[in-house]
Amino acid sequence: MRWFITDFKRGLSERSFLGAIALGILSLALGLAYYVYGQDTYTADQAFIVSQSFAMPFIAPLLASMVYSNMNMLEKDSGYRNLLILKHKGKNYTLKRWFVNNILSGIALFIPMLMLYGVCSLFSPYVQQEEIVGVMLLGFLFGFVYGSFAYSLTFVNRKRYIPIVTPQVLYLLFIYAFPYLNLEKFYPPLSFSPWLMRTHVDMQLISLELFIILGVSGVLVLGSMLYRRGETLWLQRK
Amino acid sequence: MVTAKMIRYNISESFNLVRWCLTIIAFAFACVVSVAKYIQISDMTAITFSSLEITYLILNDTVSIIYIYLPLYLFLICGIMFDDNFGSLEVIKCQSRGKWLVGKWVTLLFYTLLFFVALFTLNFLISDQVFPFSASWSSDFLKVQVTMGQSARNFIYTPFQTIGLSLGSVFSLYLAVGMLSMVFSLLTHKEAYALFLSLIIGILTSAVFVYVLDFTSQMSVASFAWRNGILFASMVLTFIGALWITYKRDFNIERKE
Repeated sequence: MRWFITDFKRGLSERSFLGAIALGILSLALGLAYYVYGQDTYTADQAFIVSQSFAMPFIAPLLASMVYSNMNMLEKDSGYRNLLILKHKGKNYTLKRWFVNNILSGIALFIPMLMLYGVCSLFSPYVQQEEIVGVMLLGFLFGFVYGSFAYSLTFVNRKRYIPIVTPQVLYLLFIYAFPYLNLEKFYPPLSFSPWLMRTHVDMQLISLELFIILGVSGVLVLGSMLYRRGETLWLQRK
Repeated sequence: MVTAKMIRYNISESFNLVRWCLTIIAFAFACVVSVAKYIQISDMTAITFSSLEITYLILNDTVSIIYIYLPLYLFLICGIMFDDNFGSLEVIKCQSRGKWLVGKWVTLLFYTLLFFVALFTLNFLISDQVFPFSASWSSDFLKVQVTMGQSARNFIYTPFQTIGLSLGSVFSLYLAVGMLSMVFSLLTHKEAYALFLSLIIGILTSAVFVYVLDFTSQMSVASFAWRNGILFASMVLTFIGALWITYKRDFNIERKE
């Protein structure tokens, strides 16, 4: 448990975590400025909906991936990984790091939205409070899933920038492709901001989409853990 | 002289099967999506395009060229400058720094040619599965293009010639951006920085050609000459800059980044 807390605190103090929050706040601020300059009267609900669905849905995977996902690659390159393995008495900390990474990625998307929630409450009281809080929790889940995907990519390549960039690149490719393939219900930004295309929102499909991504990344992480354990056993026998 | 052995060594060292497989998959995916888009347009306008017309439309789509194919291309070629543990030994084997750089440039040219052959072939093959083949422009297609603001003079050549001119311009642009990527690799020694810096410059250059120097976007020999002339001049300057950096660089035996 102590390792979780230590690693969690370490992640919170990383520059990439603070950078992700800063970029998230900037994207929401742009949305809020767009709303404020385009309206004569303001309501908290509309302010939050417009700001949250303006720019952040299109960069959310990058924000989730950049937080802590490639830390194990940096640790391996610097040799710090050996010290961590010693600390764990030879056991693999891959799964523990997976949970910490996912939670931090979720928090990195949640905190800017929480701040936006506070700012928008200055306009008027919320009417659709439940819906808005639900979308904020969905944002946390989005970060959790895409952070997991980015982390899983660290086991299948050697370049540190690939796990950060790949989720965003695939996300943008599917944003371009899905409307032409009549897959609007699977439009990726809907799993972060359902308000973008209300008529095509289907929560079951959104859950399925996120579940598939989490499942694929889970298989990659567990598979690489088993592969490394098998490799170590084989080397020991040799 | 740079020998065929040096070129073959460079190609064998820098060829990355995983990247090429991902590129082909991305090409196929982007092409299927584009064809689906034009099937929708075809249904709405009740016009049947030919496979060459669809290939022309796909390869002239600014969004695809700048935001899908350019990053793919840079992702493919950004590993050329990073050697696997040889570094200075390779320079010694090449006998001069200039020859080493020319060898890298020829490798870049080879990969760029391969990229464009794959790009055209895949797009044409997939389009041909859905749309009929015709070696000339259809009148309906010309009417649609003129309605959308294109000049009729852009289509005085046959589809193959027009696609060739269009691809030739894009080829020069990509080659120029690839050379910039090589320069950034030499300066920063980091693949990620080389990729992102050259991508930003590539996007800005495309925007300049489309919105500022729009006379170079016409499908005429004069526009083709202007555009490629500007790009050729920039390539020469880039090569001179790269040569200067290569002669100043302190080569070490170091790991691939």
